[in-house]
Amino acid sequence: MENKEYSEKIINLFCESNNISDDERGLIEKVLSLGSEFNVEELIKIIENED
Amino acid sequence: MKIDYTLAIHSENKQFNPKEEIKSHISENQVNLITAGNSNGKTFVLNLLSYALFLDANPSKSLPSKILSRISKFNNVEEFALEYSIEIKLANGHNLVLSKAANGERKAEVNNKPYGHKNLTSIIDVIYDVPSDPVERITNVISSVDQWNDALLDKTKASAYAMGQLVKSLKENRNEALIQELQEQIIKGEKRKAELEKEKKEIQESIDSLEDLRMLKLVRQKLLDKNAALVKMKGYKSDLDKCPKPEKKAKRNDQLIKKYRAANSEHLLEIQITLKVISDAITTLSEHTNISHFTKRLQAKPDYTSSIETEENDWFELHHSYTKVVDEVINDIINSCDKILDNPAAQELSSLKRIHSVISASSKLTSLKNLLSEKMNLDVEILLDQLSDIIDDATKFNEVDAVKNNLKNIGNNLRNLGSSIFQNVKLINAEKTKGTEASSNKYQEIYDKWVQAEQSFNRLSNELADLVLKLRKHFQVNATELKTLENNINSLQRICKEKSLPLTKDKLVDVTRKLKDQDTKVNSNKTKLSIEDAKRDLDIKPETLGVIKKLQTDIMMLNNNVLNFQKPIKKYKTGQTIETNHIEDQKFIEIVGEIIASSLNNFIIRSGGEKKEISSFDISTDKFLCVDGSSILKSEVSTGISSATYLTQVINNSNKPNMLFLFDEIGDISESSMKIVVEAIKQKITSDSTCTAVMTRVDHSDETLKLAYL
Repeated sequence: MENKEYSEKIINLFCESNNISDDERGLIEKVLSLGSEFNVEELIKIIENED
Repeated sequence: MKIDYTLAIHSENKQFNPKEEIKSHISENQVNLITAGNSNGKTFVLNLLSYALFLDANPSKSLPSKILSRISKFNNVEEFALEYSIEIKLANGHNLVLSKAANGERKAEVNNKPYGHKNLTSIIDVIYDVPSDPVERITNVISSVDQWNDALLDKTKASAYAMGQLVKSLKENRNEALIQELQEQIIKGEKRKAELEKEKKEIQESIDSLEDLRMLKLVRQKLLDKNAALVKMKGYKSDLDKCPKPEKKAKRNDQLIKKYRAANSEHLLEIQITLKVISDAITTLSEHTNISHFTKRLQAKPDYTSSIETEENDWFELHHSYTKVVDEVINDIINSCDKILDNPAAQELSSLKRIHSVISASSKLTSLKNLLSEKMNLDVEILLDQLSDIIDDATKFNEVDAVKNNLKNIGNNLRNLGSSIFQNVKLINAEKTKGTEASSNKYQEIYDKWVQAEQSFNRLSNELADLVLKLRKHFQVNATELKTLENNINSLQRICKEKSLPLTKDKLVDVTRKLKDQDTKVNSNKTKLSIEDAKRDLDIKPETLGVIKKLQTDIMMLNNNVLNFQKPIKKYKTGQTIETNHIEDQKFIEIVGEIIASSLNNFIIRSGGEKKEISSFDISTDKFLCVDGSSILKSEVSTGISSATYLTQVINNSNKPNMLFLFDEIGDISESSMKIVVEAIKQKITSDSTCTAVMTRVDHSDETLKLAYL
C-alpha cells in the first residue's frame, strides 16, 4: 500500500541530496506515476512540454 | 447532551450526519465510550466538540500540535462545510448551546445569550489527548514504513526498467553492423533454404517414382498370379471332365450295424439257453431210460453260436441243419417220455394220493385202526408206507412229463431265433455296402482342386480389379495389360535406377530436418533484425536526449536509494545494529524518526509521568529526540500505565465547574490502567461540578458505531 506522504519525503530526500531541480523532480514524479506504461514519443512530448 | 451536525467534504463529495447514539445518548457526568471500526466518525465527535468549544482558539499548552491541526482544519471552508448544534447541560443548570450555520461563524450561548469564546475557558475546561503506548506505536509505524517503502520500490523498479528499455531503443544505440550482418545471414539462409527445398522436391519425386514402381510391380505380380490360377483352374476342369462321375451312395450307419449285432448276440444267447433245455432234459430222462444215443447225435453239432459267425455265409445252413437234428432228437425224446408215462401208477397218481390221505387220517383213529386189524388183518401203518413208496415212484413221472412239455416248442424257438438273426445279418450287410466319410475317389479329389483353383482365381481377379481401379487415374493406363505394365515398369526403373525406397525416405527425413533448422535460423535472424531495426530513428533534439539520459540516471539512483532503505528497516525489525555511514542512510533514519514522532503526536510520557515534546525517534540508537535538545531512551518511556498516570494527573489538576475530557484511541491503554482514569473522572463529579468524558476505541470485531458508559 502506497503512502503518498512517505513517498514524497523519500523523493524530497533524494532530490535534496542530489541537487535535483524542480523540473527534474517533476519529470521523475511523472515517470513514476506512469510506471512502465509509456513510450519514447510520449516521454519526449513530456520533456519538451516541460520546457 | 444533544449533538446534531452536517459535515460536507467537498473534495470527496460526501456528507455526514450523526447516528442516533451520538445525537442523543452522549451524557453529561458519564464516561462515554464510542466504539466502531475505522472511518466511522468516532474521532470526528471529539474534534467537533473541541472545535465548537473553540479549543483551537484557546489552546492549552498540553494540546498536541497534531490535535490542534485536526481541529483547525474545519476553518477551511473550501474543503469543509460544517454546521452543528450542540447542547450541554452545565453544573449550574444552564444550557450551553454551541452552533454554527453552514457558512456562518461558530457561536456559543448560555441561556440563549451569546457567550464570548474567550470566556468559555472560565466555565468549562476541555482536555483533548491521544493516550498511546509509544513502544507499540513505534513497532507499528516501522512495519508501515516497510510496506510503504516496498510500494515505492515497486514503482521505482518499474520506472527504472521502462526507462532502461526506452533508452536502449534510441537511435544512437542502433547497431548498424549487426543489422547488416543479420541481413546477410538472412539472405544466405534463404538461399540455403531454397536449395534444400529443391533437394527435398527431387527426393520426393524419387520417392513418388519408387512408390509407383512398387505399385506397378504389385499389379504385375497380381496379374501373373491371376493368370497362373486361371491356367491351373482350366487344367483341373479338363481333368474333371475326363473323369467319370461316381454314383451317389448312401452313407453307412455304423451305429445301426452295432445295434443289429447286439441284437444277434442276444439271439445267440437265447439259442444257447434253448439248447441247454435239451441237454437238461436228456440228463433228467437218463434216470428213467437209456438215452445216450441222443447225446451222441446232438454232440455232432459244430459251435456256430459266436456272433461273428452269424455274418458268415454258412451260418444259416449250419443252424438250419442243426435245427433239423434237434427236431429229430426232440421227437425221439418225447416218444421215450410217452413210453415212460404209459404206466398205471403214473396215470393214477392223484387217486393214490387221495387214498393215502384218507388212510393217513383214519390211522389217527385208534378204534378204527384196531377194527381193521382185527377184522381185516390190515396193518394201517404198513399200508401207508407201501402207499407212500408207490406215490414216490409215481411222482418221478412228473419230471418226465415236465421234460416233455419243455421240449415241445424248442424247434420252433430255434427257427424263430435263426430267422431273427438272419434278418439282422441282412440289414447289417445292407448297411455295410453303403459308403463312408473317409471314402474318396479320384473324381472328388480333382473336383476339390478345381474348386480351390477357381476360388483362388476369383480372389486374385478381385484384388487385381481393386488395385487397378486405385491406380488407373494415377497412371492413366490400362494396368490389366501385361505389356503396358511392363513398359511402365521399365520406364520407371530407368528413372529410379538403383535407388531404394527406405534409403530415399531416410534422405527425405534428413533434408526435411535440415530445412527446418535453416528455417528456424532464418526466422531467428529476422526477429533479431526486426528488434534491432525497430530502434527508433527519431528526430530527437540533443538537449531532449540529454534530459532523457539524466532522467534515466536519476530514476536508477532513486530506485537504488529506495532499495537500500529496506536494509535499516529490516535491521531494526530484527534487532540488528543499523549502520549510518552514508548521509543518505542518516537522512532516511531522520525521516522514519519524524514519522514515528508524528504518529505519537510528538510527545511521550516519561516513566515518572512527565510529558516531553519530541521531534524524532532515532532507530539506530533507539532514542527519542526531544524538542529541547535532550534525548530519551525508548526503555525510559512509559507504556500504558504511565499514560494513565499522566491522564489522571491532568484530570486531577482540572478545577473548573465543568470539565470535558476527550481521549482518542484509548485502545493502547490496558483495562486496569483505564480503570484508574475512569475512577479519577468519576471522583470529579460533584453537586457543584460536571465532569464528562468522551473516549474512542477502535473495534475491529464489530465495525458499527456504538456507545457505552464506563
